[in-house]
Amino acid sequence: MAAATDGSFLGAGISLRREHVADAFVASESIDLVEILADHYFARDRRTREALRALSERFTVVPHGLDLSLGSADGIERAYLGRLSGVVAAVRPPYWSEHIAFTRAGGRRIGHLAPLPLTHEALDVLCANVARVSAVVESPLILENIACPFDIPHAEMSEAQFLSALVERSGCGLLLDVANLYYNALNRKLDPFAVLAEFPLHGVVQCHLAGGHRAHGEWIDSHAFPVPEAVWQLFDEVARRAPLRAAIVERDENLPAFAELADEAARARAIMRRRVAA
Amino acid sequence: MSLIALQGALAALFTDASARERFERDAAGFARAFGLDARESEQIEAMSAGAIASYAATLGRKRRSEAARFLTRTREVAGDEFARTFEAWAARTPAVPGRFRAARDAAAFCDAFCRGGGLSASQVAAVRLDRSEALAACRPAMLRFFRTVLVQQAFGYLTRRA
Repeated sequence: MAAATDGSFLGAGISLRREHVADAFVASESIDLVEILADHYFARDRRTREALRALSERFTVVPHGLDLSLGSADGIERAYLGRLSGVVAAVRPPYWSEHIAFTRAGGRRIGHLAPLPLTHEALDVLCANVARVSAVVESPLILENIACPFDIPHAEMSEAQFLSALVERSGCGLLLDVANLYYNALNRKLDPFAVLAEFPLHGVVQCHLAGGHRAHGEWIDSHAFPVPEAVWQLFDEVARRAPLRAAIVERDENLPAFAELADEAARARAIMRRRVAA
Repeated sequence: MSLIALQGALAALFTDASARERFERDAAGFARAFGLDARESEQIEAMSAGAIASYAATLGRKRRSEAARFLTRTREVAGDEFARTFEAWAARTPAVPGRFRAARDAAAFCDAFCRGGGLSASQVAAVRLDRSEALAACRPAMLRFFRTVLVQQAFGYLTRRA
């Protein structure tokens, strides 16, 4: 299997929500690719199969998993992996993505992405799970950093060191969520550019761009607002230093018109093209 | 011990309000109950209860955001109180697993909201309609298809008889 880092420039697009599907087809020339939430396409009915076929005929589609729980010491759920693998096979993507997190433990489903302790044991578990998944899903996997307002104490390494070791050991590329990096840094009163400088940018294949908000004294990556200027500046730096193939604009709340997201994707494309040309 | 025990303890803290209360009262006892070793106990005990509560609140907001699409009428009935009411309910109620999680959450919230009282008959009817639509969304597409066919056939039969 080719690595996700080896491949052509894909461009910029949006994380597709049902409210924008019709507009995306009408104005398909305004985006280069779409990311779909794989979990939304797990049904094995005709309508879902046709939706995946229609999407993959019109766009480059990148499936994005939410609940595989790659960091779970309990291991990977075979049934979930089977459904995920089916979605990936249906759209034949250049790569697919999941999170560096766990969403299930001790018989509980958390319903959200929970942070891993930055320890060698957690890294071993993650790499073992990635290897297991990669043996089943026939497309390269890229892994995303998550937003979390706190760290699990007694870390054995920094997040950047954890990610560097992960890239090295798993052979996976990274999906760098620039907004997550930005809000995590703000919540820890760190300089986002200093944090970024430590990240293994040579492994970054794709970026996520989104806007969050501040509530109860804490920054939340809510995907509810346009991409803020500070995140664009960080993205500019990533585009300059990383072998980026794509960028995806995410919005889950306060959904604007499709054209607004397409404009943000166009800005991301322009930044990446300028850097590629330079 | 192992990462399994640590993650189990963290999952309980993130999803269960009573676990968070036990942790706040006696962090060391909470860690022992999950079979954590000394080092993992230190990890758990060093965590800020405020940070954990804040993260749990994020989960509540996420559940609300996902369930809200099934709760159009309920949101109107609850008005400005919807977010607060849903998140308070979510803090007491563990999320249901499975791919229909949001729809099941929505239906369970409708039940709890009706049980809470203070609603007029028409408001209860509106919330129950949301509930039945949320539950319908949980049915596999094939069952929905057969149900539709059966309803159509029954309607045709009754129309012919009339």
